[in-house]
Amino acid sequence: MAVLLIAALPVTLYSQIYYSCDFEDVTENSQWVLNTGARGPLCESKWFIGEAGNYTLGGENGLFVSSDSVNAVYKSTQAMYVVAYRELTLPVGTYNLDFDWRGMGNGSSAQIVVAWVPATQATNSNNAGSLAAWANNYKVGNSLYASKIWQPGRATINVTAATQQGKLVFVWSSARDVAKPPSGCVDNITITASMNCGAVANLTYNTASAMLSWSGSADYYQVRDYTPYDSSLVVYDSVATTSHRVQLNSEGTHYFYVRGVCNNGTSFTPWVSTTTFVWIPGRRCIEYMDLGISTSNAGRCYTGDFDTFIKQEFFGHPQQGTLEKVDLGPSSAESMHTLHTDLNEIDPTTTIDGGLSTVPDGEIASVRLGAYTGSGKSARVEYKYTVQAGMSDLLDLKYAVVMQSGGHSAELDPNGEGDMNPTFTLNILDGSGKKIDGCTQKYFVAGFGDHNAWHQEGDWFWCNWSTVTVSLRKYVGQTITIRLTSARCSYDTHPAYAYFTMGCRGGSLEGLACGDFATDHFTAPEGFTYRWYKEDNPSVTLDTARTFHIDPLDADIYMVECHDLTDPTCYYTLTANPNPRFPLAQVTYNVTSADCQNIVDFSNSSYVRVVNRSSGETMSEEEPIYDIFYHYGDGEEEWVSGSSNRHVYPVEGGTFECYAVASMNDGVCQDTIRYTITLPDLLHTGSQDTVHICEGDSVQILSGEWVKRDTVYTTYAANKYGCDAPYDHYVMVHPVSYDSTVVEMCEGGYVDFEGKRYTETGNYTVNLRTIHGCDSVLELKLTVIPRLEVTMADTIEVCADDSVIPVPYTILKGRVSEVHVLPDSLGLARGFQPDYPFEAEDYIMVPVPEHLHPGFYRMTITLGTPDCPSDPKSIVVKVKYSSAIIAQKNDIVALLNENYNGGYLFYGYQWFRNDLPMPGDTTSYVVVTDADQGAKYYCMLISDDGTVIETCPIWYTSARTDLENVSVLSVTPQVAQPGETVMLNAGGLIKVYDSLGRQVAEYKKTAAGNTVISAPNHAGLYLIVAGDKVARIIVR
Amino acid sequence: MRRALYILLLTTCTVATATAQFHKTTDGRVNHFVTFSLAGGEANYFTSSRASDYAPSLKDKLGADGIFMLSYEMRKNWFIFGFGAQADYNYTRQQVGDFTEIFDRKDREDEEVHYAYRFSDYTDEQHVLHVSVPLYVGANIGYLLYVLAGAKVSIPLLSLHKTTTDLSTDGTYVRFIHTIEDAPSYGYYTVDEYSYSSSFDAPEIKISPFAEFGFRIPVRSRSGRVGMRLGLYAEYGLPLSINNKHLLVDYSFVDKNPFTQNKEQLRSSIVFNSPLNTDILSKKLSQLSVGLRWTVLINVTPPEHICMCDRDF
Repeated sequence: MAVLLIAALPVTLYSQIYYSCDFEDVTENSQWVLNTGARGPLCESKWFIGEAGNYTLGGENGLFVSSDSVNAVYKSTQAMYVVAYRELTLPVGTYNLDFDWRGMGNGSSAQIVVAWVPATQATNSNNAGSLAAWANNYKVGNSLYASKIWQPGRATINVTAATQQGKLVFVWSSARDVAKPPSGCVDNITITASMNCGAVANLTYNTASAMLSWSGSADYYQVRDYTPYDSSLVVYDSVATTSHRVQLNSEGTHYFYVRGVCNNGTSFTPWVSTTTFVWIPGRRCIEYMDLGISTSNAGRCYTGDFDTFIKQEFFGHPQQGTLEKVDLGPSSAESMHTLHTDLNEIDPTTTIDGGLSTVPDGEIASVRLGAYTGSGKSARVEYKYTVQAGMSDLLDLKYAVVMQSGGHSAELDPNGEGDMNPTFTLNILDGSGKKIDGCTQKYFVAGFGDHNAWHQEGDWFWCNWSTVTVSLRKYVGQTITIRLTSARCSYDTHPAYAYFTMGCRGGSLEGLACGDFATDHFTAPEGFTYRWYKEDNPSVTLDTARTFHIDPLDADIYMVECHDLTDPTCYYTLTANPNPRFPLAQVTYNVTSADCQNIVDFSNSSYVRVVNRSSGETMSEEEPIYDIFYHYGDGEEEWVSGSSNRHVYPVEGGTFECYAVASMNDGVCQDTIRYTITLPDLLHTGSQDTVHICEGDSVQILSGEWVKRDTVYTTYAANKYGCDAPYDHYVMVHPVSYDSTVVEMCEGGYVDFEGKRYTETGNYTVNLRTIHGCDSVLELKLTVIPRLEVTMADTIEVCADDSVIPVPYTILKGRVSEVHVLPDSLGLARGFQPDYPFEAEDYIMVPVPEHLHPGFYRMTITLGTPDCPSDPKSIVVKVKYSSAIIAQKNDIVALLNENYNGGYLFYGYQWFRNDLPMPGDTTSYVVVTDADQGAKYYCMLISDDGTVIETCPIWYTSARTDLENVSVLSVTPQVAQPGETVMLNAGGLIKVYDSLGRQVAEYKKTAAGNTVISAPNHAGLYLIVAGDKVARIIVR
Repeated sequence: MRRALYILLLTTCTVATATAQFHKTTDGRVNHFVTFSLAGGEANYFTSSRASDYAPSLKDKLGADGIFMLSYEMRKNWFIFGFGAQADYNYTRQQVGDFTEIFDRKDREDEEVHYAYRFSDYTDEQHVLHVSVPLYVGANIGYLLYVLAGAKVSIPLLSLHKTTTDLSTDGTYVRFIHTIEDAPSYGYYTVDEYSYSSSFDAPEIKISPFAEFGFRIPVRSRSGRVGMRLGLYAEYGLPLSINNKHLLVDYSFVDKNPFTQNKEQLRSSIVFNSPLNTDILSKKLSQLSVGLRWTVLINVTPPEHICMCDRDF
């Protein structure tokens, strides 16, 4: 983004950003003039805008010098300077020029020069020549060099009337020297008016609390956490306070920068920085940085002298030395076992050829073994290491040795005498302390060996960083000791010290395809010489290159010998199997919540499955997969190479859906394993204590206040997870406790309450004291629910042609929620359904199946209750023959035969009149007379199955008299509600019968005129007989 | 009929032979007698036949005859010839087996019903008075015995019959189980005795061959002209015609709708005919009578020689 302000006359500077450029805007980038002049393009190193120069969080571009247009590297074969500038117009005034830069170089041999040059001044590049004078004349700030890492730069621009229109110029100047990358890079340029803004000071980082704190008076602050090791940049903008918690999730030296921001974000204080070094245990096969004297340290430190370390061993009595660690810091010459973490640091005793960086590229720190004082002890460090297959079967020792030659010999004479130069040795010992085979031993003597490797400054010899690879493949599973010794000369004077790092890598082949892709070549590990041959024909060497090509469908197994460069007799052999290979992800994890961190350590045991191309059988499952993509489920994910990986989750914890992807061949083949991790909230597990008082009492809390109400007083302290968590001091006031228990139970049960048994409804109270000594009243509200008591008739009589079977019941006690009527097996066989459900409010009306055979049916009535269970009831439904099987003729009442009555056959008869048996009337008909009008008749029948059951009755209404002369009883209404008033056109004795022939009511009214009676209370069909008049009424 | 002729022939031959033999023993003069006789015995139609399996059976239960005869006899030696006139009373009681007659009718509600008349203990008594003209020949056999044979022609003067029976009626409905009985308003009456008397058609002419055999009873009289004989006779009546076209029970006067006719009316309307006039018989009835006859003879021969020695009557 670019902001440009043009002012023609000197004006009052306002608080604003006059220019800003992060090289992300294409239009702004086009305003920059790069590699100016005719000679600019001829320079061996030129300015570019691209990724190599980016230092913007989320950005892609920055300004950088490059000799290959892509990387931040430069050539320095001759003096040259190349220019990049941006024309700007600024009002007269003083400005702060802020930018980020890096550039190694070596002082004048390679540097960045910043200048504000009048627009009229020529600023051409020169591909052969030293820095032009104009660059020094208009230079602002200091020359910038000797920084591998990005850092902020600030310069002051004083704009005069003559320089209002000017050029912001960046010049890369280099001389003929050793090129030390990175080349010059610039990003995030801002020009602001120089305004007051409280500077940041006293910037410190507390590793225990992960708190960055400072002093200042700005409106707010910007915080950067820059880790050069992995080029990670974390920016915290708008930090309102003078402290900020910065969780360190990556290794290496963290450079913290803080600046104040004022005037609505238009004024900035200079960046203030501090550093902290972080290394995360568990990421390395050998924790070479863990130095100490304890058995818990990975590297145990010793001191000794020539006799101890060299002579005694020569004579077969190897000595270990004195367990001692001498660490006075990396800047102390006397330190013998110390850690160097400054990526920009140059060893002070090395000056030529750019000097020796104390930390090699690609490492976060190195160990210096040995002091470089004039005389003193020698230093030793030993590491115990259990060789693991795969990732760790090749030990890479990066080392850079600095020794002062005393002109002694390289070794002792056969008698163990003689002077000897300082030495640096690497020994690998087995579990009993004996040196294992010679291929694992390395030996350096000052001034001896390959001279091309040494840089000599007087009698000081130093060699630059080199890597020696030792194969430990033969010792997989064994615990070995790696011993490094920097020994002074035989007089314990001329020092020898070395910087070293250690790492492991897999000694496996590259180029193996995976999945459905065919392998067409193998590439052996770097750092050896090679011999390729077929497994079944080892004597024939097929190739000696590092890469060996095969046919993609080749299924033969090949072997390659990797020979040590320093000792070709030392080698190990790898198997090259071109058959299909597939990744299998296997990752486990272990959670540790401590130091206010949720730490999860992942263990990777993923492997490659090799499948025979022809048979499909698994050939091998031994090759480990080290490259795992971890998706942590907290928004972070990363690729990690190794058998273990640690990730720090948010302190708030939670449930994280994670997965790990085992990848082969740079992700061509992958396998994913998913898992869910649940972590505690570390911040909100504060402790608490509670003081209990009774209502009316008071207590003094920590603040001195007397309280008599519920109070929480919070202090802060570290909880069990090491986090600052609130510690709540509760005061709980207990009122008179009143607890009421409501119990409902069924009649017949009991409740035990406070040691007493209760069986009846009522409220019962017990006075107690609480555990806090306060009054407590317990009340029991007991409701005894009566068991359901229901009355219903044992026998219900219906006619076979009735539509329903009413089953009236009366609830004496309890409640009914539902009713089920369950017919017996006879009923089921004759058409009843297995279950008739009814709601509590419903009348039980069981539908009568069509053509129901008269008989006795037993039905079980189950009454569901919401309260207490009740026993089912059993009733008998007596289904009589329909009265329709009786025909009335004048003077004859006869039963219809089987062809007319529905197929019933009868074998016995007994007629009843008005419920009295008629003696002698034992046939299928009776002859009646006029005197029998209104009489009720039914016949008891014996059916073919032996059932004895009567018909439903008829009322004889026929007579010799013409039917028209039979009086009709008028009833109003003919359909009435229970208890409703019914009007009749008759008087005298009035009887009411139900459908079963039972008399349900009798009235004696005056003989003449209309009469009123009440309709029966239950639903059903009723017959009203008044003298010789008959009528029917339905009650609903 | 054919059987009657065979018996007549046989009797005549027997008498002729006896007479011829008697003639051999006595020489004779012709005597003229006037006789009157009284006879009585059992009569039986031997009816147990039935027109068909469905027809009720008809059986004689009792039969009796009473005969008074006045005749002229001529006798010469042993030969007897006579003719005369008879008054012949016959009583027969017959019984008909139980039977039922069913008619499809409609009852008072116009409902179809099988209406049944059920008869039991059905008894018919017949009283018949015949006038007969006998003609006969005979012979005295020896001193005591005699035999006669002949035939007579009878003509009924009076024939009465009386039927009594137990009758019940009932109705059977298609839709009911049992037959409805004892429902007077429907004409279903319980068993009761019904009777009916009337004349009936006895056979108009009856030829009855007869034979008699007995012994002479000596009678001491001053004139010596009276004689007696006592004999056993058998007659077999053969009706030449009979009227059997009548129904045993005639419902012509009975109302089909019981609603309009009660029991008494039924009783007075139903007509029972003599079984002899009905077609329940499969054949004409013939009646055999067997009995005793006492005959008084009075010699009316003019005296020529009153011979005191002739004691043949």
